[in-house]
Amino acid sequence: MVDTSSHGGGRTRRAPGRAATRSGGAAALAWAIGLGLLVGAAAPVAAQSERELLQRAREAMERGQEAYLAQSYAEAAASFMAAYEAKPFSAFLYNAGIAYERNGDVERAIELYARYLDEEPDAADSEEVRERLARLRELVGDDTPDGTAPDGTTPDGTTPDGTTPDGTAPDGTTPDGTTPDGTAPDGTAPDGTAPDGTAPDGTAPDGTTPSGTGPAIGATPQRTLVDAPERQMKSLLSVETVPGDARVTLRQGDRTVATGPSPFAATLDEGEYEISVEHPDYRTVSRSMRIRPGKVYVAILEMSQGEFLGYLRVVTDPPGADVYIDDREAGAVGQTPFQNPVTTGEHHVWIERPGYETEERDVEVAIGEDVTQQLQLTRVTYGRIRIVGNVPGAIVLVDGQEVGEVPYEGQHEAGPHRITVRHDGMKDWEELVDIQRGQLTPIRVRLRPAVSRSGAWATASLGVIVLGGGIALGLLGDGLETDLANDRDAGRLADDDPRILRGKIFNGAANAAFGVAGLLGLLSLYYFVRDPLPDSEGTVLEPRDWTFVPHIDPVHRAGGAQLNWSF
Amino acid sequence: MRSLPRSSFVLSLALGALLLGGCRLKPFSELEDSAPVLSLDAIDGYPSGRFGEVFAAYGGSTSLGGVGRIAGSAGAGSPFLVFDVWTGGEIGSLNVRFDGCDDIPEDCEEGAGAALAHVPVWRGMRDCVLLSATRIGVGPSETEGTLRIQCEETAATTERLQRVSGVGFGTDLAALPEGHPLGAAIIGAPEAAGGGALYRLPQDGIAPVELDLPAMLTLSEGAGLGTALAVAPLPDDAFALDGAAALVLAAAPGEERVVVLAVGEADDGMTGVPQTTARLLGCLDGSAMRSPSAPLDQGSGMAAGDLDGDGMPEVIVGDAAAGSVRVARLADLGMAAGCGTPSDSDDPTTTTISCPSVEGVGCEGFGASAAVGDFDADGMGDLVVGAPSATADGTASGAVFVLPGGDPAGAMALYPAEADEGALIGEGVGVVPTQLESGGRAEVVAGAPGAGKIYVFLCTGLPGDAPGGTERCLEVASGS
Repeated sequence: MVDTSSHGGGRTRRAPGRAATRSGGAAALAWAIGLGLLVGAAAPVAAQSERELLQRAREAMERGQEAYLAQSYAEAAASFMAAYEAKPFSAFLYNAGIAYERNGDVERAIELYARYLDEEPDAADSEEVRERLARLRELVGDDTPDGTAPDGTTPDGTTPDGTTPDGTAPDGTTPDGTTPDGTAPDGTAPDGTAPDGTAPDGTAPDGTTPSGTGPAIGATPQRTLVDAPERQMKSLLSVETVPGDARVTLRQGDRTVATGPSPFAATLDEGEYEISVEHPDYRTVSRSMRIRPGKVYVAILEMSQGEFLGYLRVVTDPPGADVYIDDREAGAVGQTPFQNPVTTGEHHVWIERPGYETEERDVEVAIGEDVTQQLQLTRVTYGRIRIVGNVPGAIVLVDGQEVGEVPYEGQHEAGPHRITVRHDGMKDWEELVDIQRGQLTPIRVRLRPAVSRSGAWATASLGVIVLGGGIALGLLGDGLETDLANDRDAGRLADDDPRILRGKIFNGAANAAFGVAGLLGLLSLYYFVRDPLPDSEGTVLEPRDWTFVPHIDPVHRAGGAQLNWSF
Repeated sequence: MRSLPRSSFVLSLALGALLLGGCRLKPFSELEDSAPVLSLDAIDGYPSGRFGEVFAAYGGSTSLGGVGRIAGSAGAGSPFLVFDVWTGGEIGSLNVRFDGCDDIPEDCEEGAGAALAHVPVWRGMRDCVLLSATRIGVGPSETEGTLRIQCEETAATTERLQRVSGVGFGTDLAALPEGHPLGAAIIGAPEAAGGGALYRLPQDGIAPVELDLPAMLTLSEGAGLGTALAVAPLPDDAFALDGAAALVLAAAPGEERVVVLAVGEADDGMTGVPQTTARLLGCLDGSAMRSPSAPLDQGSGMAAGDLDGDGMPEVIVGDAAAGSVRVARLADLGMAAGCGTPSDSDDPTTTTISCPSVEGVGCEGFGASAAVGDFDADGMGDLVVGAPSATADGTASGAVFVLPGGDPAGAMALYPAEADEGALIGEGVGVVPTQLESGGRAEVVAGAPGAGKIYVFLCTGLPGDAPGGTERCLEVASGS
C-alpha cells in the first residue's frame, strides 16, 4: 500500500547542487509512505541499494502480515525474520517473536523478545515486553531473571555477548553468520539456497524455515500458549532526508519516542506520531503521521531552506515590467511575465515599466495559493525628447519657452510641441514634433551658420534716414501747399510762383526719398531674406521606449531616474 | 527653419506704403494749373531781362476759335514774343506762339519791341502785330524807326512798312478798332517838328499817313506829342464826325500834358470827300506820361474807356508821383479846354481818384499805368491802375489796383504772392479778353519788367467775380 500526501502550488527553493523534486506545492516535505515513492531522481547508488533492501524488507513484512492474519504464524514469523535479514530493524524481531509466541514456539519467542529488548532497551513498551518475557520464561521454567540459562547462556543458547560457549552463535553461525564449515546454520549454502531446495528467503514450501538453532516451526511441535494474548505488531518507520544529516525526532504527544540523525529508522507501535526533521540550514519540517501495525513506512524528506510559500504571478501587457515586492529599495525581483514563490501573507507589489504608469497592488497569498495579477499597463501622459546637435549650448525652446541647452533631455506632455533650437550666429531650427506618450523621441539637430544681417540693418537704417528726410521734405511741401492754396484762394497765386517749384522740389525730393527709402527698404528686405547658406537641419527619429529606472525614496518622497538609451 | 525678421518686413511695408502714398507732385501741379495768376516769361536766351516793359494784349482768332494773346517785349531794341493765354475757355499753352526773331534774326539784333500794337486785320490778314523797330541810337539817326507787321497767318513773314525817318516814328503805337476808317493803328512820332506828330496806318497800306492835328493845338518844340498813345472807340457820329471815330490820347510829356483828340472822317465842306479829321477835345495837364527814354519807375500812364456806362469813354490820366489818377469825362472837355499854355488855368474838370486803401498793399507809383476793361463781366468798364513801386505783403514788388467802374470803393489789389523785390508789377497794365466766345470778359494784364514777366490776373477779386476757391477765378466767375 502506498500512502502519499503532497501540497500543490509550491516550489522549493533549493540549495545549489541539490536534487530537486517538484510537486507543485508549497510544502518542503515530500512524503513517501512505502517504497513505491522512492523515486529520487539523483539518489546515490548506495542509497538506491539501501532502498532495495528496504523494499525487500517491506515485502517480507507485507507477507508476514498477511500470513499472520491468516493465522499462519510460522510463516509469518519466517517472513518477519526475512525482513529482519533484509533490514535488521528490531520491529521485525518483535513481530517475529509475536508470531512465534502465537505459534507456540515459546523459546523462540523468548529469544526474539530478548533480542528486541537488547536492541530497543528504551523502547516505550520495553517494560511490557520484559514482563511478557518473564511470563514466557516462567512458562518454560527458565528462572533466569534476565533470561539466561544456568550455564550462562541465554534462553536462545547464547552467552550474554550473543555467542554460544563454543563461540558460535546460537544458530551455529560464527560471528560472520556462517557455520564453521562455511555453511549457514540452516544448512544453506553461502548462495542462500538450502540443501533441500528451499528459497533463499529461507522459507520452506510448507512455510517453515529450516534455519535457526531450534527446530523449524513447522517441523517441531511446540507448546501452544492458549493464553497468548493478541498483540499489536510493531511497525517500522524509515526516514531519509535530503540533505542526509538532518535530525529526526519522533514524538507521541509530549513524549519523545525516538530521535536520531537521518537516515533514521524506528520501530513504532500503532499510534499518532509527530515527526520533526531539523537541519541548521533548512527549515524544520514537522508532520503528523498515523502508524498502523505491521507496516513499513518510508519517509523521504527534501528539506526547504525557505519558508513555506505561495506563488505569485504577474503578467503585464506589454511585458518586461519590473516587479518589486514589499521593498522597492531592494530592487526588482524580476520582470513580467513574473512568476515566483513568495512568502505567504500580504504583499505590496509595484510594477514599473519605463514609459508607463507605475502600478501598485496589494495582494494576499496563502500557503500554496497561486495568485495571478494581470495588468494592462498605461503609458504615461508625457514623453521625453532628447536633442543632440552640433552646437553644444544651443538654446532649446519648447513652445517658445526656454527649457535647456543642447544636449538636452527632458520630459514634456505628450502631443505636438514646437521645438526650436537657437544659437547666436546660427540659423534657428524649428519643427513641430509630436511627443509620444511614454516614449523617447530623439532629435538630431545640425545648426547652420546664419547670414549676417548687418548690411540689411545698415540698409534699413539708411532707408529710415532717407525716409525721415522724405517725411521732412514732405512736411515742408505740405506747408508750402497750404500757403499756396491760401494764396490761390486769395487770387494771388501765380503759376510760376517759385514756391510751386520749391514745393515740387520738396515733394519730388520727398517722393524721391520715399522711393529711395522704399528701394532701400526693399533692398534691406532682400538682404534680410537673401540667404545663400543652407538651412539648419534636424532629424526627428522614430520614438522609442526608453529604459527608465526610477529611484523613489518612499520615506523622503524624493525621486530620481536613471535613463539609458542609445541612438 | 529660416525665419524672416518681422521688423524688416514691417519696415519694408511701411516704406512701400509711404512710397505708394507719398507721391505729392500732383497737388502742386494742380495748384499750378489752378493758379489764378498766369506768369509769362521770356524764352530762354531772350536778350533782355526787362521783358514785360512793353506789351500788347488782344483778342485774336484762329481757325479753332478765339484766343487771348499777349505780345510782349523788353522795350526798344528787344524782340517780341506772342503768347496764347486763353483758348476756348481754357488756359492756353502759355508757350510762345511766335516771335519776331523767327526768320529775320537781324531784326532781333536791331531790336523790334519799342512798341507793339495789335491789328485785327491788315491787308486781308488777321491778327497782326504791329511792331516798332525803333531802336534808340541805332540806325541812320537816333530817331529813325522802322515799323514791321507780322500776322498770325503768315507768322514767318514780317512786312516792313515804309520808313519815316527823323521823327521818332513808332515811339508808341495804338491800335484802332477793327474796320475803323482811320486805319489799323495810330503811330506816334514825338520827335517830329512842331512838338511831335501822329500817324495812322491805313487798313491796307504800308505807308503811314500823318494826321492833321487841329490848328487849335499849339505845342512847343520838344513837347513830344505821341510819346504815349491811348485809343478808345467813340460812338458813331460823335463830335460831328462821320461814322466811326476814335478817341485818341496823345501824351506830350515835354509839356506835361495829355492831348485828347476825337479822330474820324468828316466832310471838310469843300471837296465833299470825307477827310480824316482830328478834333481837339481838350488837354489835361499835370503828369509826365511815360516815355521810352525815361526810367521805368518814372512817368505815368493814361487810358481811355467807358467807366460810367454812358457810351462815351472817359479819359484817365495817372499821376504816379501823387499816387492818383484823374478821370475826365468827355462831356467835361470840349472846346479845347486846357489846351492853352500849360500855365493857363483852363483845365477841364476832372475827378481825382486816390490810391485805394487795401490792407497789406502800398500805393507807391499808383498811376504809373492805367487801362479800362470789364473785369467782372458786368458790362461796365472797370479801371485798373498800376503801382509798380507798391509794397505788397512786405515786398516792394508792385501791384495792380482794380477799381470797379472807377470807384475806389471795393477796389482790389492784384499781385502775385511771391514776386521779386523790384518786379515793377504794374509798370504797364492792359486788358486781355478771355471769354472770347461769350464776350464781355477781360482780365488784367500787368507788366513786371523788373522781374522780366508779364502777369495775367485771371480774377480781380471784385465782388461776384472771384470768390476764394481752388479753381481759377475765371472759371468760377463764368460759371464754367
